[in-house]
Amino acid sequence: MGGAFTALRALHERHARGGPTFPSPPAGEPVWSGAAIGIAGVPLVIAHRDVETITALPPLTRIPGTGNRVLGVAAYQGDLLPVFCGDTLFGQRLSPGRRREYCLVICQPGLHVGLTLSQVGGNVTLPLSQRSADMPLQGLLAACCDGGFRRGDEFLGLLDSGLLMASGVLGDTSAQPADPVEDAVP
Amino acid sequence: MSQTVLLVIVLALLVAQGVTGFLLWKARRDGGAATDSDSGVLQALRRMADGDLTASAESTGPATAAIAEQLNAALARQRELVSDLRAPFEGLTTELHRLARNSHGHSETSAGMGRQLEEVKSALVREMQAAEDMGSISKQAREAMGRHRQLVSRGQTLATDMARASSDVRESMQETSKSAKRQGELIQSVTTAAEYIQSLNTRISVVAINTRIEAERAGEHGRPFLGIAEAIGDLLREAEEEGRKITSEVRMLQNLSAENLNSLEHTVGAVVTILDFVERIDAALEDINHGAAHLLDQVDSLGNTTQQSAETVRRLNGLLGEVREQNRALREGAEATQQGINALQQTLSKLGRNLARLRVDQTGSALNV
Repeated sequence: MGGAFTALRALHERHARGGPTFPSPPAGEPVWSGAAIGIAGVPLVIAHRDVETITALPPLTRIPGTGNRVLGVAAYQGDLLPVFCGDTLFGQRLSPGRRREYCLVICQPGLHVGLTLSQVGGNVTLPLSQRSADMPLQGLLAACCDGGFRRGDEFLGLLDSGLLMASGVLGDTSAQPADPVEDAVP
Repeated sequence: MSQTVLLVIVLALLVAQGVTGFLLWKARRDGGAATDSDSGVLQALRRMADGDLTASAESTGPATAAIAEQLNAALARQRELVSDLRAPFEGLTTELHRLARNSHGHSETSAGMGRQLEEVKSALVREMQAAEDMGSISKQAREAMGRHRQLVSRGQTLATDMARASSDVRESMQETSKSAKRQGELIQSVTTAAEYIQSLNTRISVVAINTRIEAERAGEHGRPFLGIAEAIGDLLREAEEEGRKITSEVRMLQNLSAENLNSLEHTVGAVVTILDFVERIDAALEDINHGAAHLLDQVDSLGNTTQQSAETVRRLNGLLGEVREQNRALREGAEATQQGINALQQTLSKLGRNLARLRVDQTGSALNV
């Protein structure tokens, strides 16, 4: 660990001397920073604190008995990571076109899943004046977004991992309907 | 022939009158003054001299009885001769009249034939002029046909050059089309590279986001990573901007290449159509050339025929001159014949008047001519 901190310190000193300075927001204008992503073709933003990482989609192993929204389980940093299909989960459709290449890893207490992305836009800093409580999105995305930002004619939904966990959609992985299909025992 | 016979008869009558006069003169000289018995003979001789052949000599004298008898016999033979002379003389007159009419008709016919020959000559002159005109027209047509064939030959040469040029253009277009396809492949390669750059940008975005996440997770110690993440973000934005420009321009290039390729294909199609048209024009010019050659043969044949016709007309004109000369000779002969017939008619008329003085019966003259 010492070596790592030493390296980081040296990196900090070097960037402190000649590297780019830390961007400072304009005085008097509060901003919000996060990552711009896209799920099922819908542009979204998500706070960095809600994201463990964004990684290339690892090799997956299908899990028998799960629905098609569950792509499989992957070996990720020594753990097992279930990966959900963002297009199926939020767009209620299979992913169009080519295979998704990246997935968003969310690590919350009791929740450690991957979610495929349709777009990775990079870091984004938005003025809080563009924050909007309106919700033009529909379905599960509307339930999992805490408002959003209006950037021109574009609406960027703010994906909240807490709302996503609270929706319970990630807890149901079975291919069978939730309701029992067996006849009741008389 | 009949004229000769008539002259012989007339001469015989004159000789008979002379003999009778002689006998009468001799009787007067031998007998001195005439007696009563001789008066009948003398009276008969006087009537006979006046042309009255009906007279009869009667004599009772021994010297004159034989003379009267001989005289009566001579008179009877003369009457018979004159009577026999009537029919041939009338036939001769009729034949002479008919001959005069025929001769007059021949003369009229010859004159009409002369007029017709003059008309034929005029027609032949016009025909000769028409033949010469036709020959001149044939010559002009031949020259025009020659120029026409030269023009067609030039058209064929132009069509051949045009076909060669079109073929060259087609080959060039095909080469250009291959080049355009190669260009499209290169554009596709550039597009693939641009997409790869876009993929790299995405990966860099992932790195930037993860750096930012790690920096925030590291708290105060991660602040340098924030700068790095921000710098990566700036570079990323520039790269994305350039990448979008490249992608946009490559797409424009793709569209232009596709349009050019489409235009080239249309141009190749147009060139192929032009080649087809040129081949049709060449075939049509070939047909025109064949037709012109055939027409030239026809014009040559017409010229030869016209020349032969002109030659025939010239020969006909020469023959017509000979025919006119012969007709003129015929007309002159007919006129001479007419004159002879007129003279003969006058002679016959005079002879008729002389014969009319001879009485052969009690009713009148011997010949009514």
